[in-house]
Amino acid sequence: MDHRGTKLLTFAALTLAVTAASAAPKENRGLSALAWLEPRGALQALSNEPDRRLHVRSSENPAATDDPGSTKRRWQQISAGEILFHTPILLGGQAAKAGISCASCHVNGRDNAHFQFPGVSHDPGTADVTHSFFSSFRGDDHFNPVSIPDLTRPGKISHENPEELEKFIRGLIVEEFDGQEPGNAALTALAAYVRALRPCDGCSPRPLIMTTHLGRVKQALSAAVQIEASEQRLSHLLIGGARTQLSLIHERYADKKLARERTAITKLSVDLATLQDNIGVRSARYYQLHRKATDQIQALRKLLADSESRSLYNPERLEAYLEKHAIRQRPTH
Amino acid sequence: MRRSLTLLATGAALSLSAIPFAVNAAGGGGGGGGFSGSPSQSAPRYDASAEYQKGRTALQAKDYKKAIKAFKRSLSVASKNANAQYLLGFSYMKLDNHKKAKKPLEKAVKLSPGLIDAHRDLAITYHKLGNTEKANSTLGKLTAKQNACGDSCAEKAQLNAAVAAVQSTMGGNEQASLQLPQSFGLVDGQTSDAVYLSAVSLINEGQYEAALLELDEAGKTFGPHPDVLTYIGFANRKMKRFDIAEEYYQRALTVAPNHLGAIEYYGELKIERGDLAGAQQHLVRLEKLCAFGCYEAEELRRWITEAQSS
Repeated sequence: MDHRGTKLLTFAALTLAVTAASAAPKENRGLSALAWLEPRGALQALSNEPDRRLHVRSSENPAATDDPGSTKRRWQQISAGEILFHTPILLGGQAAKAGISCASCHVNGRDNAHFQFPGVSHDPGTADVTHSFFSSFRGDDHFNPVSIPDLTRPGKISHENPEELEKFIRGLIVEEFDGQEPGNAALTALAAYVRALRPCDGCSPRPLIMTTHLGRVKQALSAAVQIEASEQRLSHLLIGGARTQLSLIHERYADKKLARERTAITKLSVDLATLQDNIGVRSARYYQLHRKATDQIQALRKLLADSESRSLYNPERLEAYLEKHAIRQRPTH
Repeated sequence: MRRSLTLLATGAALSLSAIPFAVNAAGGGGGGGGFSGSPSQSAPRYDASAEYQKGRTALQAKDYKKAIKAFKRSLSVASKNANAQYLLGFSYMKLDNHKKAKKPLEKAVKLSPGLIDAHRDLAITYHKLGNTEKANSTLGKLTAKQNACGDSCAEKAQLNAAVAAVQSTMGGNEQASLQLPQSFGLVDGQTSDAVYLSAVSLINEGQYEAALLELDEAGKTFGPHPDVLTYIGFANRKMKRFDIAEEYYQRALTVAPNHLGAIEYYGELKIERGDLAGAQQHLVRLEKLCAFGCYEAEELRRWITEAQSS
């Protein structure tokens, strides 16, 4: 079947939505994840996420003796990898522009039963990974979506074989999504994260709250300062990842009475842009900016916690928002 | 290259809550709002694509006055959109106001010489206004196209029908019913959605001529939409038609001044033309617009860095 001829008329509503957004205030562009979530599952997907379980070995060789330094280093890589996994600019082209990251399909490394990207998915939880819309390299001119795999389960790529997983991840970034070369350090971090993922069968979903996202901001900054100064690309991506998480918080604080909160969130992101500009130097100013940002996160956490119930992290408000949004998005032709 | 466009009718219902993907994906901000507050912009400013689509809907409902109002609003922002000019003229024709139909139809054929329907209706309008010379001249252009087309070109049927309609009208027969062609999406509006996605995919495959044909079709439904205009510019740029590319980027930015994709691609065009300082200005603008970072800024920054080091 020709993929262009299939499931594409969803663009009708999308295009109308573009129009609606064009007239909307700049500050309130809606929840970005709705671009790839099926409407019926959006509330659930935006309210909860599967719990995550990570396991680390200090060496890829199970027989190797663990040493505390190696284990610490491995956790640092996993932590950085987890942020990259949530960072759209790691990918390229249309995916990055849409705000899609690895985690959009693999929530906390699992699958995503509610992922349904117009024209690229068929049933929820599927995606055509050889679609020219996303890829300049892998388009096969056929609409052949596949189920999104749970990365905590054994898959077609061995997690144990050294370098095989890194090579596979590089192919995803560069060829499947038209991204730039991520560099060895980023690939090592991503592979470390994927290798550390473990099933969590008895776990209940955990609520998706403000600190979920703000925690990742802090995690990203922490990871960025720990890595080698020479790893500029990785540092840039990590701080970019922090800014992405701030945008996710910003879009949840949509109420017009939460302007102060939005201003504080934006201010931190702009300061992080300055930090990104200073990555190559690692001068005293870089560390000064880093400390300032860390302090800002603390202050922001308190400010946001006080008004979280009025934000779209509150499931009741989120549900009302989604209902209103669905009405507004109804196509008229 | 026309792909299969058989669409699944279930798609629409599934997309009701989808939000502006194309805003972030293709345009990274779509219109994005955020028009500046300069005095020249204090007058009402309309969403050119939304107004165009309102006009189409009004045409479908045979509410020609409402259609005219919407097309005028669209044109107040995007005056160079041939499709909007044509549909404005067509709406006046439906009200038998040939005097007012003339100018927008003339603009339509000037802006888009390949728009056969506009040629047809302009010839009819001239005839209705008693301007036989211009009616014959316009008919002559159509028959020239018809002859050049021969028996095999894609527009053969459309050209034959257009020539026949004009000749019939000039021969004294009132056209039975002035119908808007399907290519303007009034019958199968959703096809254009698929065409748009297809066009972007074709661009990714490097099939720029084919992409342009599909974007042209999508434009008939969506009018002066910044995403469509930006990709027309992009495809032309990839074919080294820099002047046309610039024209379309500018058109996109006229209807949506904060369109991230247009700002990025226009900046890349400036690099290709050796205007690094101009590209830098685009990057500054993107950084200002993207408080949380965006891929468009990342890409333009990379282009600038590579240009500086080469």
